[in-house]
Amino acid sequence: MSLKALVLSLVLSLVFGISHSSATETVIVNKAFNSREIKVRVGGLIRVDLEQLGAAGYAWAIKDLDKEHFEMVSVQTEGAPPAGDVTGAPVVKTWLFRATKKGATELRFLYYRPWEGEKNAVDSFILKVRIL
Amino acid sequence: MSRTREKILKSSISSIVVVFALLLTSALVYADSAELEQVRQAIKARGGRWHADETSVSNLSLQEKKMRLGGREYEDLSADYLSSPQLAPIPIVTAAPPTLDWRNVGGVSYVSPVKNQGSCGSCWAFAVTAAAESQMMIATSGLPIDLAEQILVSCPGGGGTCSGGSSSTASTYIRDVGLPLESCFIYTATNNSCSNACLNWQDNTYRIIGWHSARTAVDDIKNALYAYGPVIATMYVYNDFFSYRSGVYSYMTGSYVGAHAVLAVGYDDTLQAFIVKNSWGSGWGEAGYFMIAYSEVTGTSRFGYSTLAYDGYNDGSCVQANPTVTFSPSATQSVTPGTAITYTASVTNKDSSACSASTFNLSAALPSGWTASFGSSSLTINPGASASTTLLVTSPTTAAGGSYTITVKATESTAPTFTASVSVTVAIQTTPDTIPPVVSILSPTNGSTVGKKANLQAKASDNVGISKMELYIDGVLILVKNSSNITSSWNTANVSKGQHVIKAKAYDRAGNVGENSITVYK
Repeated sequence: MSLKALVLSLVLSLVFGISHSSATETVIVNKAFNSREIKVRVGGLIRVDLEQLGAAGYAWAIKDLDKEHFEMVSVQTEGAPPAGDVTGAPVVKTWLFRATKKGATELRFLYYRPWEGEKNAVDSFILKVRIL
Repeated sequence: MSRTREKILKSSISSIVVVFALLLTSALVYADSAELEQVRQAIKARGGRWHADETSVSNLSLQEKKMRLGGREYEDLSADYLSSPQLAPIPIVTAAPPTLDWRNVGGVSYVSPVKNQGSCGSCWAFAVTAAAESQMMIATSGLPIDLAEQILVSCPGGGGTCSGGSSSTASTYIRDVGLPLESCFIYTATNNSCSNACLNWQDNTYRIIGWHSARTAVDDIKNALYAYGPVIATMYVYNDFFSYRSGVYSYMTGSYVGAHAVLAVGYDDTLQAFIVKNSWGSGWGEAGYFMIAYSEVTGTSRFGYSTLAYDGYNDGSCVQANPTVTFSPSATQSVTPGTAITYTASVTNKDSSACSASTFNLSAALPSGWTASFGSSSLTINPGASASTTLLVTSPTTAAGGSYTITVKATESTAPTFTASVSVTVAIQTTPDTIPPVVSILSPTNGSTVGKKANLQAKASDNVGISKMELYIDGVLILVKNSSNITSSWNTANVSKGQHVIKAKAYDRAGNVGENSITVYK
C-alpha cells in the first residue's frame, strides 16, 4: 500500500467511521421484512429494528455477519420507560449496518436466551440484501 | 524522505488505521463471547461479587442441572415512580432478623419450584403467582401447590398479556377472583384465550386476603419479607444480567433490556443481598435463583422499585380490615365566623368478600363551640363497597380568626378496633370580606366572530370562595352553576347578525359579586 493510499484510508475511515452525511441513504426494516429482499447502494445504511423480550431473557443476535459486504456501525437497545409497576414489555434492539461491497447477501438474526445458546433459538429473521 | 523514514511512517499510519478499526469494531460489535468477556472484565474492574458464564443449560447433564441450586441507559427511569406516593405502605412491625430464606425455615420450604415463562412477557404473572403459592404454602405448613399463571395472561382483568402486565392489577385479581390449579389451564407462553381454561374454574380458585405496597428501601423490603413472606419485586434488567451464574449480582455493564418482576424469597445481611427467585427456568443463575446486592435498591437496576407483599391465604373465612374514609372537599375552606360548610364523607368497607355487611358509626371531632351534623351517622356497607353521607359543619359566630381542624372517624360498630379517620382544615376569616370575585371569560375571546356553535367558558376566583356563577347572553340569564367554573354551548343558528354581549357573574360566600363581559359578532 502506498503512503498516499494509507493517508487516504486513514482520512476516509475517520470521516466515514465516526459520522456520515445526512444525505446517506438509510433503509429501515423490521420483523415484517423477514425473508424479503431490499436493495441498497454501496455506502448506504441499513437499520434493523427487532422487538425483544429482555425481561423474559430473550435477545436477538446476529448470526455470522457477512463482513465482506457489511460493516456494523452501531447497535443499541431502546425501550419506553415503564409506567408504574408494568413489567415484561418488549424493547427494540436496533442495528445499523453499512453496505461496503456490491453483491447479493443476507443479514441473519436468531432470537434466543444467551445462556441457552443459539441452537435453542425460538425465532429467526433473515433479510436478503442486494448491494448495488 | 528516506526509505527508512517512509517505512516508519507507513508502519505508524498502518498501526493507527488498524487500531482505529479495532476500536470502532470492538465498540460496536457485540458477539456473545465478546459480550461475556466484556461482562467478566467489568466484574473484575469494578470488584463485582458475581460470576458470569456462557455455559448453556443444554450442555449440562440432568445431574448437573439438579446440583445447581436463578444502547440506552435509563439512569433516571424511576425517578418519578420512586417519588410517587406508595399505596398502603407496610407498617414496620418488628426488627427483621439478620438472615431469612423462605426456602428453608425450620427445614420447611415455603417457595414453589422455579418455573419458566418462556418467550412471553409474563414475568409479572409468574412473580405474583409465586407469591400467592408461597402464601398457600405458609398457610398449609409447606404443602406444595401449583397455580395457573395462564389465567392472568389470558383472562380479562388478569393484569396483562405476553407483552407485559401490572403486578398490582394481577394481585387485585388474585384477591378478588383467585387462581385455579395449573392443571386447569396449563401454561402455553402465549396470550391464549380465557375460554380455554377448564370449565367453571372460578368456582375452585385460591385467593389472597389482600396486598400492600412496600416503600423502596432495603429495611422496608426486608421487613416485608419477614412480616408477610416472599414479596414481588420489580427491577430493571441490563444485558449483563443474562450472564449471571452465581454470587451477588450488581450492575456492571451493558444496556437496558427491560423491566422485570421477580419474587424475593429472603435476604442475607452478611452478604448484604436479597435472595430472589427468577422465572427463566432452573438453567439460569443458581438453579433459577439469584442474589442481588442491597445497593441495587438505589443502584442501576432499581431492585424493588415496586414491592408488593401479600396478606395471606384467603381460605374462605371472613377477614376484617380497617375501612378507608375520604372527605370532600379536602382542600382548606376559608369562611367567616358562623358560616356553614357542607362536606361529603365516604367510607369503604375493606373486609374480605366472605364477610357480611358491616355498619360503620361516624363521629366528628370539632374545635370547641363548633357544631356538626351528619346526614346519616351510621352506614351499612358490603365488603368492598363504599357509601357516603353529608356533614354540615358550622363555626360559632364568635370564632377567632385562624385555622381549625375537623376530624371524621368511621368505626366498625361490632368490632371497634377496625377504624379509620380523616382530617380537613377550615380557615376562619374574621374581617368582613368585601372583595368581589374576579371573573374571566375564557371563551370566546372579546371581539371575535362566532360560528354556528360557540363554546362559552368562564371561571372565577375569590379570597373566600365562590358560591355560584351565572352566564348571560345579551342580558338573558342562560345558566347557573354552584361552581367556580361555568361552561355552555351557544347555538347561534337563530341569533341575529351583529353584536352580542356575553356576561359572566360570580358570587362569593360573603355575597360579593364580580362580573365580566365581552362583545362578540355573528
